[in-house]
Amino acid sequence: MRPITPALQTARAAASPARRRRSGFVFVELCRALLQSGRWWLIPFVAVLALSAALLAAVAAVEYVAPFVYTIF
Amino acid sequence: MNVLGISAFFHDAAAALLVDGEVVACAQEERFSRIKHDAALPVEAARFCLGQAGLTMADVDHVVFYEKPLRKFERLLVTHLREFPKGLLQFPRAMATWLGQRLWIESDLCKGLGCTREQLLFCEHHLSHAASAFFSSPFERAAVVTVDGVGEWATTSIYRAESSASGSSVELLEELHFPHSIGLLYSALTAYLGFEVNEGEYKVMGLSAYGQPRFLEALERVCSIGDDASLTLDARYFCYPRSATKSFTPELEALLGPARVPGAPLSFPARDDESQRFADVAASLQVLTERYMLALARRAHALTGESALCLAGGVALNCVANRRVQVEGPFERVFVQPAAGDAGGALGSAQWVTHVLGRTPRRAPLRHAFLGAAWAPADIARFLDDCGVEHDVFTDRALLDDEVARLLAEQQVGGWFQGRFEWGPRALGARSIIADARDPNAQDRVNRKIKFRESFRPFAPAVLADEAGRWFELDAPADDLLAPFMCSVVPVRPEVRGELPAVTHVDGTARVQVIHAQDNPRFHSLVEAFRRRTGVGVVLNTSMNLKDEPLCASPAEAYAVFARSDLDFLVLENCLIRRRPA
Amino acid sequence: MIATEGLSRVFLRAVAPVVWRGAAPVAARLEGFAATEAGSALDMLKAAELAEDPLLRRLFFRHAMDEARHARMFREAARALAEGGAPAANEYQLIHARRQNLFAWLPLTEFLAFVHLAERRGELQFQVLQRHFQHEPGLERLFARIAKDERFHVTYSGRWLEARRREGGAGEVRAALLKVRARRAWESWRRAGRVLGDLTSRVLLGALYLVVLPLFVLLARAADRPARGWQKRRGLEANLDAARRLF
Repeated sequence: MRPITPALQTARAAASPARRRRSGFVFVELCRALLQSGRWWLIPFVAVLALSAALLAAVAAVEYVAPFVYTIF
Repeated sequence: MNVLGISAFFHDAAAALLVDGEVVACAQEERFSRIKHDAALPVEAARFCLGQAGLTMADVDHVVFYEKPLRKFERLLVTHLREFPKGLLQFPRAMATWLGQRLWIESDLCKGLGCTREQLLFCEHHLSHAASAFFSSPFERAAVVTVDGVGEWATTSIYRAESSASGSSVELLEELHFPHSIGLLYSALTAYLGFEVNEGEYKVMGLSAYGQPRFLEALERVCSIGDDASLTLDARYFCYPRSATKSFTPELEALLGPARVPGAPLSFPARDDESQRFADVAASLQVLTERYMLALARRAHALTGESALCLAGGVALNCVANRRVQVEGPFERVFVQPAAGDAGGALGSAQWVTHVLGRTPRRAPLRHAFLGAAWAPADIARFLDDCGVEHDVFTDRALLDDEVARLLAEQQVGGWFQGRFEWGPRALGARSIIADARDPNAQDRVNRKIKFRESFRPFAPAVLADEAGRWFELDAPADDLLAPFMCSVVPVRPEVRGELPAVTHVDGTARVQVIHAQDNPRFHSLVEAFRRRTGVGVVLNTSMNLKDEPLCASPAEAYAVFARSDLDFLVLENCLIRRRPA
Repeated sequence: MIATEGLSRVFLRAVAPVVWRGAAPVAARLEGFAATEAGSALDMLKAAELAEDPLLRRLFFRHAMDEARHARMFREAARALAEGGAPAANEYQLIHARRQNLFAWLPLTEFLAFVHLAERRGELQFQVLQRHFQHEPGLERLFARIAKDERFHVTYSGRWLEARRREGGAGEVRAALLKVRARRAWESWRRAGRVLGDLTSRVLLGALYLVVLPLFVLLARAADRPARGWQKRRGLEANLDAARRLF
């Protein structure tokens, strides 16, 4: 017994063409955000956080260890 | 233009879908996951919304998230720097969450929902709230005030919004920043009073009716309201900036007395000084909040000069304050969208993209909240047959209404499951538990046997629109925009309070729902049938769920409520199940 | 299989006297059972709702009602044991169910394999506890009654799996049972990992807080002024480019 749903419509192209967005690393976007808000002095700290995240990502790549870094990553 | 709005990751995750400007479906994830206030990515809710429109993710032009995550992260970092070194315990937890998940929100959304990065957009938190209120309202132009705990940085915002043939705009005029927040004050005191934050605020509102505001002066030391309706909280009394588990400091307890232990008994009339003290704290907080909301309304009016006001954000769920703004404030008309909390951000962000960015003309305003899933009567009957559940099937709905009215008049309490489930926290006649509002024992019976709520919490009435004025101090019920969604608390007329004991609160008020036939036909016809039998077009209406569970969504969940409580009967569309004697 | 169950029974009997002693701990464990049973009730009810086959629907529904009844029985037994009777506040606390919603995402054979193995484990545990509490008639009766219901759940799920085997699905059933066991083991590993991972992350990030943050605290105190009063933000954009940004 499932909820009432109408029949699937024929898929159509999206009405507005989607622009190809620049792929930006999130830390780069974060630095841009801090520049915009005037808190540029936080950028070095963000760099430290980015390094920490990268280090933990490398550790998490070892699958059998993954559960042990689950909450880190 | 198809736009899917998403709110997630803090509390009350939800999805909302607009197709060419029309709100097709909205639902909170908790209705599917059965986890109250579920904050996880609303995959099931999104799937439901798309299914309701017969669409796939490929058909969606934009998927819009209801806030700007990096601005929020900025606030987190800056706050930890300001609070150093007191945030030592909270910082690792917060960073683990953000480094581990929240910063990678684009991948999470794409992976979880099946969308592409090209489809993704992000709308500011308070702007999502503002849009959800304005674009759901019947106003072409309005002042919009959004008040909650905190979004990215903003805790309170004032906007001017307007729509015309050439397009729509929602313009930010000014905002207050974290940590100065009436929403966080209310939540901190909710925790002080021993209730769960983001859940217990209603209980504080109900508790306040039993108290006197003798702590108002003390609270004014904690929270000062400027002549310009700005707010400043004294940081000595709060630790929510640096702790996720504790929100107030020992200084607050020194000021107001020891905090209430969660679960400690509270019964009224108060049998002990402590119960009365807590009620007085609640009353003081409520008075302060109402004063602040009125001050905000006056400031918004002064800034915009508009005659209509839309309210949104979690504090807009404070129905007592809404009523004061409506009656005493400078605006002629006031509107609150039924899911005014964070779930509403899903709807608002989708509406903002649709109407402001997409310049899609507005459709009809939101006249009802029945935007969830429905189940076919034939499927329900087959389910009950297959499971061996005895039931009666009514092919004539009028006969069903009459039978249910008879059961109610005999003081039975039942579940009423009809059509699409409600959007927002209130049951409005689609997933309701109903009883005779005239019965003096109904409140106690519903509490003890079904809802297991604290005894001081009142139940709410649902009244037919054409006799709302007979029972409640509603000047023009047909024009009242708050009452159909239970967004205001109004006085029960003194001369009839004795006739509605089950739904009249200790202070003579009720959080009333006005039922209009065109917007809520099934519930209207039931209460009409009850009126034909009893002469009273009012019933007790509460949500169909057990304590600490979300509102039920499906027939099986409604049956689970029935099976695990002492409801006398359950109506599932046109099937009536009666409890057999043991 | 039999050897494993035998070992499990020996293990459970060995730990029961240690784990199930004292009124308060026993009451707490009974509450835990109540939560598990309540979650199972909701899961089985959902399975009944979604199942297409009428017989399976009825069986899942009966299973759900059994679990709901067990949850209530465990809760009442826990209350009876709680010191001085249940405090008034506890009346308002219903059983918090732990729900997994497995029917929605597992194939039918795997779902029934899960039910079968979980109910067998439950039956075994309740039989051991029935024996452990043989000198306490109330609890002995409780576990006896519930173990009997679990036996029914084991039987119907086992019969369905057997029928599937006879239809040529022997490999499918074997694979399903293996997958369920493997998933259980993996979940236990993940739970252990989560505990250790949580500890590791707290230590690392705590060190970051104490060693790296102080410099930025000084910078913040020099450069950052907390906002008071109404703030006006200029230059807010309402266009697609701005909406694509995460800030």
